[in-house]
Amino acid sequence: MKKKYDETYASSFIKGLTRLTGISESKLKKYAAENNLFNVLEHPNIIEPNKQQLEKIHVLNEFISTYKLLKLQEKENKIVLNSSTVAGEYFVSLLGGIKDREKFMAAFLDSGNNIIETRTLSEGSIGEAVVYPRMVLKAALDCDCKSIILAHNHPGGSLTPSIQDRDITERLVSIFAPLQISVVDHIIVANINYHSMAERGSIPQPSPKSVSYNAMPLSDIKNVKEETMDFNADMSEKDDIDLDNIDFLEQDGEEEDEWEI
Amino acid sequence: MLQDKTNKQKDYERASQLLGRLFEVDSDITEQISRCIQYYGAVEFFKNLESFDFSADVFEKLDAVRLVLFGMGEEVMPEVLIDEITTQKIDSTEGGAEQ
Repeated sequence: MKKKYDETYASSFIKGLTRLTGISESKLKKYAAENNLFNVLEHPNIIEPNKQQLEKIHVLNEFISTYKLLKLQEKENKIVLNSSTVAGEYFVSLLGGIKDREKFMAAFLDSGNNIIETRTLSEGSIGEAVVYPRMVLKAALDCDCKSIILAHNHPGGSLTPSIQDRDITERLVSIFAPLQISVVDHIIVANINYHSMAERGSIPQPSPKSVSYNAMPLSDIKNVKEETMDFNADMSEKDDIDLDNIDFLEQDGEEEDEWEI
Repeated sequence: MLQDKTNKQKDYERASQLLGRLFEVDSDITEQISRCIQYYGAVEFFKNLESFDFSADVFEKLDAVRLVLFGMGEEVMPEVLIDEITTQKIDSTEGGAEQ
């Protein structure tokens, strides 16, 4: 029965995608027979679409992200970013569709992890944006927040944090620590995937030496080569894995990925 | 709170514009979609698709988006249509069993 129900979903998805993009149903069915069907949204080139079809898939992806964000907003008056997963999905919906420039944002949270305000703090070129710590500080003090989640996109598609990404995180952690404002995560978005530095345990400790208010460039070019697999990037290809059998990184209990402030 | 409303409104407009780009339709259709989606909310908009006055062509495209969202597990279908789709699928998969 479950299989039939799954087939219903897959069949609806294929029918809708064919109507919207013109990609043939048989091509999608053939792909779905041996692969995870949803890969076609995440990695559209695998089904070799033409330029027009590829553009349509990109627009559809952007719409789906916006839809999910609106659903979140409609469900609750306030959006609660209480885990890296929710924060990741939230910023994917805001940054996932941006391919032509880097954009640096921050969500300022109250003590209940409700978003007080989300601001764009910098927008740059395709490979670089400049972050001004003074602007982040001013925005945080203006809204009297208790914690901050940083986020920016990598238009180049890499999910791995660059050296500059780590530096700016450390600098902001160090600036806010004496004010008892925690920088709880830094989310990096590429396409519809994200990397959470908190989830990987790579949020730096505050260091007085790092306190500086000079502008800092962010770049997705010089990535730190320490990751073996990008979070989320290939999970869709591993749908047949029983998730109960996976030992998630630093995950001991159900609420492990919730923020500890 | 005002900031919240403004952001939400911007997101509704963005969603409508993306649909307009996807469907390659004129701006008046995009505005019509925007009005409906803001009035009903994104989820209810798709659930109530049949009740709006869209042209057959636009309806078909919106329905295609709804099918994709439904396929991804989103609750966008009215109950009556879910029953219909499920029954159709079961009929078509079980029909061939009779030899």
